Parts: sequence; C-alpha cells; structure tokens
Amino acid sequence: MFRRVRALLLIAASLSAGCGEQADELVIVVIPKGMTHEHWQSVRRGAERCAADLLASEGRRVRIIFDGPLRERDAMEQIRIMDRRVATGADGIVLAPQHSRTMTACVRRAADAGLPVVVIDSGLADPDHFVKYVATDNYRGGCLAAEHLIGELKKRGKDRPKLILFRYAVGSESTEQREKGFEDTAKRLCPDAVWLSTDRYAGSTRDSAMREAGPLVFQFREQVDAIFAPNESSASGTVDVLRSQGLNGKVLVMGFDSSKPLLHAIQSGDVIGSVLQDPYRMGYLSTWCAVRYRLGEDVNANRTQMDLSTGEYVVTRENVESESIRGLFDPELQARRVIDVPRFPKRGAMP
Amino acid sequence: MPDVSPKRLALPAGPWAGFAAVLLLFAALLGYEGGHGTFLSGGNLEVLLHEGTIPAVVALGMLLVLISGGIDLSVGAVVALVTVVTMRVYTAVLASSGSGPEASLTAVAAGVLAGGLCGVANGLLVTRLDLPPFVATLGMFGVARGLAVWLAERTTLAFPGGVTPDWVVTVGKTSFLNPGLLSLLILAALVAVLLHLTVFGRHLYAVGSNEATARLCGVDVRRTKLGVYALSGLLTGWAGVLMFAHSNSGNPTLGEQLELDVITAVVIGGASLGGGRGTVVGALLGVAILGLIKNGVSLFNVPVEMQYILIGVLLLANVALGRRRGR
Amino acid sequence: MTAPRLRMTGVRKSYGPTHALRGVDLELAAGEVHALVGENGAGKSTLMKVISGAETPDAGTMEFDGAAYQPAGPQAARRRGVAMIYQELAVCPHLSVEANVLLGLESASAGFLKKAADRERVRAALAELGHPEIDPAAPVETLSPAARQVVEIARALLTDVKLLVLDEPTSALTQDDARRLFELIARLKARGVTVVYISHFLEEIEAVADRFTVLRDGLSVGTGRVKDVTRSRLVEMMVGRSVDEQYPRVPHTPGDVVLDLSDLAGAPLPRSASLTLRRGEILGLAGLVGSGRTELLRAVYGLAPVRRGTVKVHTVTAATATPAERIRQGLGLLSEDRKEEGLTLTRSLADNVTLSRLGPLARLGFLSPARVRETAAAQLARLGVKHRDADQPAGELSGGNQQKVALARLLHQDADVFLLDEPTRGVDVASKADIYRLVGELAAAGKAVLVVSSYLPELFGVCDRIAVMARGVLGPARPVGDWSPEQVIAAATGGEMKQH
Repeated sequence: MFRRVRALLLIAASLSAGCGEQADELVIVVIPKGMTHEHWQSVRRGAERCAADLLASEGRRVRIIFDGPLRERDAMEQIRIMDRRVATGADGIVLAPQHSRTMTACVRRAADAGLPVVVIDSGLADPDHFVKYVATDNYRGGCLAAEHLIGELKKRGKDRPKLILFRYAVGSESTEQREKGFEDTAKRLCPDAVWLSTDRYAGSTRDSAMREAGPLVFQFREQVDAIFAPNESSASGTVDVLRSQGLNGKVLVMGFDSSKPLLHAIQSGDVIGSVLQDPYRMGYLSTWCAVRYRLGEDVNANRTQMDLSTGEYVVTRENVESESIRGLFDPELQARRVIDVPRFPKRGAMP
Repeated sequence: MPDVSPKRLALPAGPWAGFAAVLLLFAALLGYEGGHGTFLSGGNLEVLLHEGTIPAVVALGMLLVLISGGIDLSVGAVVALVTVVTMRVYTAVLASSGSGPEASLTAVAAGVLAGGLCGVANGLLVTRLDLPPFVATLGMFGVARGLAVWLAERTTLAFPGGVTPDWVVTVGKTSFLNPGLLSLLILAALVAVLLHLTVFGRHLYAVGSNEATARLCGVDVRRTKLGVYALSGLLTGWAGVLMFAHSNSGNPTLGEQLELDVITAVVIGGASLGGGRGTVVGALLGVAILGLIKNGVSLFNVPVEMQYILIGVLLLANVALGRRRGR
Repeated sequence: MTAPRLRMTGVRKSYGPTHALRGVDLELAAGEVHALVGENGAGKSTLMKVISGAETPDAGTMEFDGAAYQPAGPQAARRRGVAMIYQELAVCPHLSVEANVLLGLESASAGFLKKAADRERVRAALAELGHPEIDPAAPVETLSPAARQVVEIARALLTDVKLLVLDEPTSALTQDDARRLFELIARLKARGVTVVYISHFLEEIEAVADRFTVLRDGLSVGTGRVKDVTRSRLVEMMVGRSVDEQYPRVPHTPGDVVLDLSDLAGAPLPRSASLTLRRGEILGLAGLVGSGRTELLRAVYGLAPVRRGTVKVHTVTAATATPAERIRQGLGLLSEDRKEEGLTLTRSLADNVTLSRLGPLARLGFLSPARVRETAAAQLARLGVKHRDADQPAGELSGGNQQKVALARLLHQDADVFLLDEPTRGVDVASKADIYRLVGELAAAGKAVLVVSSYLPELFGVCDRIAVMARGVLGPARPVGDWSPEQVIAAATGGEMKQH
C-alpha cells in the first residue's frame, strides 16, 4: 500500500517540476454567485474585454479565470472556490458574494494572504477586507422602478393604485435594497397608494415564484393594479401566473433584470418595464480595479470611496430595441461598447 | 485491513486504481495546460485536505451504514440542521450568559447531539417499524431539511454582531494543523478500530453480509443496526459542526446532495450497497478521489459539467470492474 | 445403558390441512451416524426443522440426553448442542473464515476482540476436522462449497455440538470432497457427536451411516442397522404404497415428433439429455431434486444457458433461443416457482393470463381492457378457477387456483408443447385431479406434454412414458408399464457416482 502511495507521489513530483507561473502575467479570478444566469456571462465578457483592452492599450497581460459554483445557492462551494484560489495563487479576486455575512471569513482569509478582493453585485458586511465595491445602485434601481410604474399608473388614471410588493428572499441584500427603494419612492410619489401585500417572498427560482404568486394573485385578483417583482425569476413567475389567470396586460408588472422571455413580455405589454443592470460594465470595472490595485494604485482614495456604481436603466416597450439598452445584454453590441474607466493615483502618495 | 487474503491483494484494489487514474488524468492535463499548474502546489494539498474533511467525516458514518446493508439519505439535510441548531444555541447562550466559550461549548454539544438524535430516529424507524433504510432516511431527509429551514426562519443565520469566535476562524482556515482535519484522523482511526478489532464491528459485517446467518448465530441484529445509525448520526453531527465553522453560518440550504457525494465516494472506495463490504481506507480514498476531481476541474478551468461526468463514469467503471473481479 | 442422545416419540406437525408429520418415532444414540431416508415430501425437512428448533411440533415428546427438549428456536437448540447444516449454506460471504466460525462466539474483553486467541481456536477446530489447509483469514466467498461447509461444521464444533444434522451434504460436492466429508464425519463420531445424515444416495448411506430410519408420508416406517438391510429393502420401505391413487385418464394417441433434444447440456446442469416428444404424448421426467430436470426445461425454453447439443421444435433446429422465440415456436413453460416466477401475484388474474400473448388483444399497441378481461375470463372458466372476477389480484387465490391461472396462461398462449415443472406442488387434492384431467385433455387434443415431478405415483398415473434424470444425465424413456417404482428410484439414486 505504501509503495503505491510513494509511486503516485513520484509521478506527481516529476510532473510538477517544470510548471512555473509566467512572471509578467496577472491572474484575476472572477467568482460569480452561480454559473447559469446570463447576468454572469455578461460579467465574464466584461472582465475578459477589460483584459483585452489592457493588453491593447498598455501591453499588460491579464488572465481571467471564471470559476463559480454551478448553483446560485451553493454557499459552501463558493467558500471552497475562494479558499482554493487563495491557496493556489492569483493576483486578484472579483467576488459576487452569495451572502453578505457568511462570506466574510473567506474574504478575510484572502486579505490575510495579501490578495485584493473586489466585491461586485451584492454587498459584503465587512468593508475592511476588500478594496472596492462595484455594483448596481440597487436602491436607486428600486427608485427608478417606482417612478416608472407610478407614472404609468397615473397615465391610466389610477391616482390611488392598489399595489403588491412581491419580495424575493430574506437576507438577500441587493433585492432588499431594490424593495426598499421602490417602497420609499412609491410612498413619496403616491402617498394614497394601497399596499395589498408586502410580506410575501418569491424564493430563488421561477418555479417557487409561481407557487407563491399563484394564491397571492388569486386572492387579490379583483383589486390589484400593479406588482413589483425585484428580480428576474420573481418577475417571470409573476407574469406566468397572470397569464394563466388571464390577467396579463390588465395588472401592470414592473420587474428587475432581464431575460429573453422577460424582454418578450415587455414587447407584448405583459410587463410594463424593468430595471436593467450593467453586468458587462461591472465585470469590466471590477477587473480594472483589481489590476490597478495590484499595480500599486489607490483605487478607493484611502478607503473613503469604496463604492463604484455601474448604472441602472429602465427598459420599456419604447426603448427595448434601442442600441443603448441592447448593449447591456447583447454580446455583439457589448463588444462594440467603449467603457470609460476611472483613473487612480499611486498608493502611498500623501493625501 | 486485517481480512485481506492473498487473492484480494493480488487484484489491484478498486479505489487505488481510481485514485491513480484521476491523478494520471490531471497529470496529463498539467502537461497540456503548460505553465499554469497550481494543482500540485503545496497550498493546494492543504486545500484538498480541508475540502475533504467534512465529506470524509460523513463518509465514516455512511461506511458503517453501508456495511450493515443500509443506506442513509438524510446526512446532507442533517448537516444543514446541525449548522442551524448550533448557531441558534450559540446565539441564545451568548445572549443569556455573555460567555463566548460557554456558548461555543454548549452549541457544539447541541449540534453533535442533534445529529445523534437524527441517527437514533433513523435507527428506530429501521429496527422498530421495520422500514427499509431507503424510506426511513428519505423521510428523515425531508424532516431534517424542513426543521432546518423552520429553525432558521427561512434565512441564513450569521454570528450575532458579525463577531466570529476564534475557534470557528481556526477551524475554517486551510491548514495542515486544522483541528477539524485532526479530528477526522482520530475519528477514522477509531472507526477502523471499531470495525476490525471489536465484537460490534464483527457483528456489523456479519449483519450486512447475511442477516439471517447473523441472527442464527445469536447476533442482536436490531441493536447492531440501531448502534450503526446512532453512530452515523453522531459523526454527521460532528460534520455539521465543522460545516458550521467552514461556512461561518447556520444555513438550512447547506449540504444539498452531500448524501449522494458521500455515498458515491464510499462506493468508489469499495463498499457495497448490498452490505458486508467496505473499509475506512477505501472510504477515505473515495472521498479523496471525488475531492481531486472537484478541485482539479476547478483549478484546470475544465468546464464544471465535466466534474459530474467524470464522477459518474468513475463510479460506473469502478463498480463494474469490482463486480467483474468478484466473479 | 445411558439415555439416548435424542428420543422423539409420536411427533406430529401439520401446516393447515397438510399433515407433514403424522407420528414419528426416532431414537439417536450418542456417537452414531444415523441416516434419515425417504422420498421427497416424506417429511424429512419438517422433521429436521423440528429437531433444530425452527418449528415446534403439534404433538409428541422429545428428550435430549435424558432431559426434556423443547427448543424455542434455532438459537436455543444451538445452546443445547444441536446444529444443523442446510443445503443452502448459512455463511457470511464477505467475512473471513475466522469471523464466520466465531460469529456470535467471539472472545472479547471490553468489546475488543481477542484476535490471537480466537485465531488459534479456529485453527485448532479446522485441524480437528482434517482441514488444516483452510486459511482462517481467507474471505469465505473465495472458498469452494466444500470448504464453506467445513466452516459451518467448525462453527458447530466450537459450540460444543452434540447433535449435528447434515442435509444432503454432498449435493454440491465433488466425489473427492465427499470422501473427505466422510472422513470428517468419522472424526466427529469419534468425539461422541451424533450425526444425522440425510441423503437420497443409498451408497453414501452404506458408506457412512451406522443406523437408518425411513420416513414415508410423515410416518417413520422402519429403522435398523445399515449393515442388516439391503438396498432393495430400503427402496421398498421408501416407496411403500402401491401406486393406486385415482388418476383420470383421457385416451390419447401419439402423433408426429414436435420436440427433439439431442445430447443437450446446460451450465452446469443437465450434463446430457436426449429425448423425443410426440403430439398427443405425456412424457414424465423423474429424478431427485437437484438432478437437473428443472434446468433441462429451462434450457429448452431459453431461460438457462445451453452449453452443447441441439433443440429441435417442430422443424426448427436452434440450440439457443430467447423465451420469446420459444413461445412463438409453440413452447409453454409452467415454472416450479409459482410465487417468484410463475405469476405476478400483485397483478390481476386477467393480466396474468394474457401476459405472454397480448398481441391479439391490442390494436396499434393499445390494449383493449375489455378484451383482455373477456379472454382471461373464458380461460379461467374453462379451468374452473375459483375467483371473484378477472380483476382480482392473483395473490388472493389459493395455491391450487393460482396454479390453474398459470396453466390458463399456457392455454391462452396456445402452446403446442407444454413443459410442466412440478405442476401439482403445493396444490390441494381436488385441484390436483383437475390438473391431471387437463393434462390428459391436452394430450387428447394433440398437444405434447413434458412433466417434471418428484411425486412418483403422479408420474405413473399420468404419463405414457417415463425417463429418469440422475446427476444431470437423462436416461432412456421407457413406456410406463416397463417401469416399477423401485426401478425408478434405483435409477434416480443409484450408480452414476462413478462418473463424478
């Protein structure tokens, strides 16, 4: 038995010899929440585009490794991937944390190992151990959603609309921000609105959203004027339910994020609008910040400017075909975009 | 492995062959990938051991259950439940007593106990209600997962005030001297002793190999099985505590498909779903093989779906070869 | 004179209406080898179960070494020193020899095995049995059947066995292994162990046993010293009754050959079988259980492998075929294992009857439930199956009626050649007569019937010709009038040892 182990180790040792890092290449590991959503593919393209631009503009070689858990709620696997990458060496990590608090320990481990971590997409409850937060301003996105929806309702003469806020999940920081932005703005713009329901949760999949939305819509089918669903799966599930109950187009749905079916629903009028993020820009800028930090630049003005917003955009039936909107998700148009990047001073320079 | 006859040694033991095959595969990838080999770095060996600790502890329990001719589908859900129970108890004791060490000790004890109770429940369902283990533990799987979600109020529980106790930080850290890893080594040795040097172990193999014969020879089949599920539950409870530390949270969605991973590992390691077969070394090798595949697939930037395919193919090849040899 | 090892007086045991033991007297002396002989169904296996504690007798007394003996179960019997080695060996295949021998008897301190001491005990026991070559560390699954048997006997030896029952111990052994077993039995005898030796093979009994007891129809009909009795006298006692039961005979005449087997060999059984079967003919296959008759039928039908030889059905010659092909060629098999194989007990009667030929009842692959039910109902009525309706699950019927359902399937299938394996096993008397009548009617209608039965009177009452299978070799078929029951038994149990 021991002889066998020794033989295997010998093979391993002989193979490991002769493998060395190329010294002048920076390796940036991009760790999304999951692998299957189109959102993360845009992040990946943005990161890779940034690497290509860096090579073209200043001859800097950057390698992007895109490595994430297969499923969005596989919390342990994301921790594993972080630890793996920290242990095996990289120059920077771009992380979309699945949870704002449980991911703190491994981010700290990365920081202890001297790796800069750029947090994207969702917040992390430990601002001391990462170098930049590149994300959509989700609160503002919620505000935009409320402004658009209330405007549409007023156009239809509904000055005292009856609303449903269909929440996503407990503990999800980004969607809670959207919900809060929506609630605050709607109450400000339309104090007389009636809130039929604000305490139901769609869960993480389109399926679970349908299961939850079904009884909810049925209960209020005679009253409800509009529903806000704070992400793609909850919006899609809501539309599915409205269609099955023959209420599509009659009840206004405001969504967040996009997918092909959701964009079709916007074109057909089943969804009145959605707020789009710019994941391509998110991937681009986060990679940019990680590289700049690695090159000794002060990317957060000595920890006073941690946040970098990537913008949020309302998509409606009118602008859904426009190049600026399509450039947010269409790979071909993404490739033609020019991303403006912030410039940073050298670290250690006196403030 | 005391019960090794010349014949068994002469046939290259399945798990070793699998281990070699996976290593060779990644070795070939190393050559192909050229300069980016981080897979064989010392740091990664630490990572591999760290990642393997939890499945390995669960695998020790699963090994006992499989040898007895049973199966335990509830382990993943029980692990999740344990993380939630541990965090709940920690938070409650800390709030009432204000003592961190006291809260930690109580919470760990409660977590292990919760796992043990689930195991005893499985054992009672199997021995008293005569339910097939598949059904009994499938039921427990649902109950434990549901309890976990309920206790966690549908969310993920983090440490109160975001303050992580030191021991959790230590257990969560990748290191050759990780206490969780050391506990695994001790537990593995204990289980090996239990299996091969005690009457209980002997009776366990007998029950799995031929239950009727064991009964005829005066073996208390029920008590043996109950003991097996209770032990498996305690081990799963300990794994849950480790998961609690690794994940830094009480999270009811943890451990999804852990049961399948662990059963796969133990079967690749030479245990039989029919019972009567299996060793600690084999089970640990099985976990190592699965860990290598997951780790390697990630580090070589092989598409993640390959991980599932590789594991599936390896399982089939291993068992098919094992059966052929058995003839 | 000391008390006998075991004395049984007037032991009776019934299973429902079946009287397995109707009054058995048996006396076993210490240190003797006692042969228990009798035909299949004579009550030997029930008697063994009573001795080994697996069954409690309904009536009668038992004494063991002078004290009352009423074991609560096999374990209790073991504690008194009674061990039983079944034909299907009770070993844990994955465990080592040592672990098997010591199962339940391990020496331990504080739960830890004392391995060195135990290994010595096992080694000593194996040596005492004359098998020091068996490695205590070897897994039992790597051992030959003979060695596994020794492992079981060694286990008994360590429980301080006083009475050891061996059930057909040579059935899976080569002749050489059998010889070593006889030596082993002699060693046990020298230790004062009483051995009950059950076998069909009279020459084995002559070689190993001191005394014998003959069982017939649940009664002990004779006992004595082996050297005082002739083989033909033993056979006479075993057969006993004349074949005088009533078998309804339906006149029929043989026609063309429809099944022709030539030197057919399976793996491992049968070793060689040749026969011809004609339309309108009933051919009986006699022989001991395990002689290869069932395997012959299964090989012909395509359920068991064929190693050599040819099978000709009508004009088609093909050594191997799938059961589906055999059914198309006109073969129908009635399995001896009704519960596990012959019927799907949880499905309805209609499904069971029509399963092997659904084609005519379906259109474009869609079954017509009404036609399935009608067709099945007609066949069930024809056979007089007592049932509620065609949707009733087969498992709810009595054994006899279940067997008729299985036969109804062969009728629905419109088979030409009926291969019937123990068609009346576990069947009540009235249903038996129905089945015999049906067999006769089939022959009269020009069907060919091949019957395997372990019940001689049945073969003599029903068949036109009988052939005897002994140790995998099928003898020539002769008209039933040319056989006497004694000759059949002699052919089934005699000779042939030399070929081993």
